[in-house]
Amino acid sequence: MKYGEDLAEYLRSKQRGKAANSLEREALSDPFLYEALEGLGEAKEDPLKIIENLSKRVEYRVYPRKKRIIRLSAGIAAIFLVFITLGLFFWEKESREKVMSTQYAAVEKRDTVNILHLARRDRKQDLKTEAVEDAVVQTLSDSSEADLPEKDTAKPNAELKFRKQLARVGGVKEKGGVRVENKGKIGPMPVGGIEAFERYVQDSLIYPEDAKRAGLEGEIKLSFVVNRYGRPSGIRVVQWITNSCNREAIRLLENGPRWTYTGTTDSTILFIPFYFDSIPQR
Amino acid sequence: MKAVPGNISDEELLAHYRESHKSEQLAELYKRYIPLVYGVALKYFKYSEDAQDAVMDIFEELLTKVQVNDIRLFRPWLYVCVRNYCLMKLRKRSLNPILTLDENFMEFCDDFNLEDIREEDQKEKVLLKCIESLPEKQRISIYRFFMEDRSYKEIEEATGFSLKMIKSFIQNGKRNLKLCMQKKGVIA
Repeated sequence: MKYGEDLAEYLRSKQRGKAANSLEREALSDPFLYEALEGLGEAKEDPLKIIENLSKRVEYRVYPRKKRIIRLSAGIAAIFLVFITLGLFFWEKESREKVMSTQYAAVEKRDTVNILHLARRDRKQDLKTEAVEDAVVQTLSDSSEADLPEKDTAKPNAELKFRKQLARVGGVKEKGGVRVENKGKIGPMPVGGIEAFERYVQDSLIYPEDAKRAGLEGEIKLSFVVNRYGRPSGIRVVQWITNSCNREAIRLLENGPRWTYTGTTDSTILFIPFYFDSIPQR
Repeated sequence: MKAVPGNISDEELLAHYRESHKSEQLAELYKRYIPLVYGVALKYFKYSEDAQDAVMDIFEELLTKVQVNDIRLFRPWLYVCVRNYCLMKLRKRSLNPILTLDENFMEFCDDFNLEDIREEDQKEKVLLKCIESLPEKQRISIYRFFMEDRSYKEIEEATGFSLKMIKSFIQNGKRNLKLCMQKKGVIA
């Protein structure tokens, strides 16, 4: 017996029979066979299956290696492409949101109000007349809740003409804190003081999950007019982070304390910060 | 997969590989010996996983060794490779490699072949007489193994002797028979 073919028979016969004896006799003059029979005879697991498996492994080791490599590379390339596409998608989404977060004001479309066009702050676009401005303000204040659109995608934003000269009046906090800005003279302030208002904001602020997860921070800038009841009306988001943050800021303003009524028709500016380290520990 | 004729000799297959450097051809040659290589490795390492690793490692070694070395006959050369690998691996583990060839020294290269002797009537008669003169256990083992064509396992089951003992009896019995025959002047 030259090769191991008879070994299979030897093992299958459980090392019994004339053929087995014949192989064993052959082994007496063949040390290779002799030692192999010794090893296999004492095998615990079925050697035949293992030998077959080894044969395949050796083949695998040398055979259509090129084909295997090509198929493998194609698979890897495909997976790569999927990841890259996903990566690009998310990256693009994130950069869009970042771009939005600066200088756009949101005005919700109403049946009675024209959509004001998207404009940057530095483009001093004379958008509308005072009348429309009032109409917008009026319409917005009619809505009991700031009924912002539910969709998360970017909406057409508009910016009403803004009076730039803002003098800081009272209640100025260091950057990052809640602060109020009124044009010129003494303007409306939260009843109870700005410190109390800031405490209120810190206590009540619920950081929206999506912004938190996306790692988005910043300040929401709200513009509004205090009406004779001391309530903010015509609330507009001038500077925003995400829709959820906007809603949260508006919620805080609306549920907050009354403001002092000065009779002015000028807008009051309120900054509400959204920073991670200011999240109140509950 | 290229079909390799089953009757191509080891040495021819080897020569093809050395020329072409196509590892597929060496694989075809090696596959013929996997049962033997695995068996020997199993004997030394005891554990199947180690023996399987040995089979694959040895193949890796062959890919280069075969190119470098001048090999006349593949089979004995391969056997040497396998043993060297096993002994070296065991030595690295600082285990004493079990050299059964030292324990019960096997005489492989002896020309005392019972089959040949039995073919000659006269010699066979002398042989039978010599067998009768053997120590009991050797006689039983020799008789059953050579005359009755029983395998080790069968003799073990019939006599209760362990496999190791049976092999030893046969080994020593054969040597004694040879001496006996030589004494009787039947063989050189």
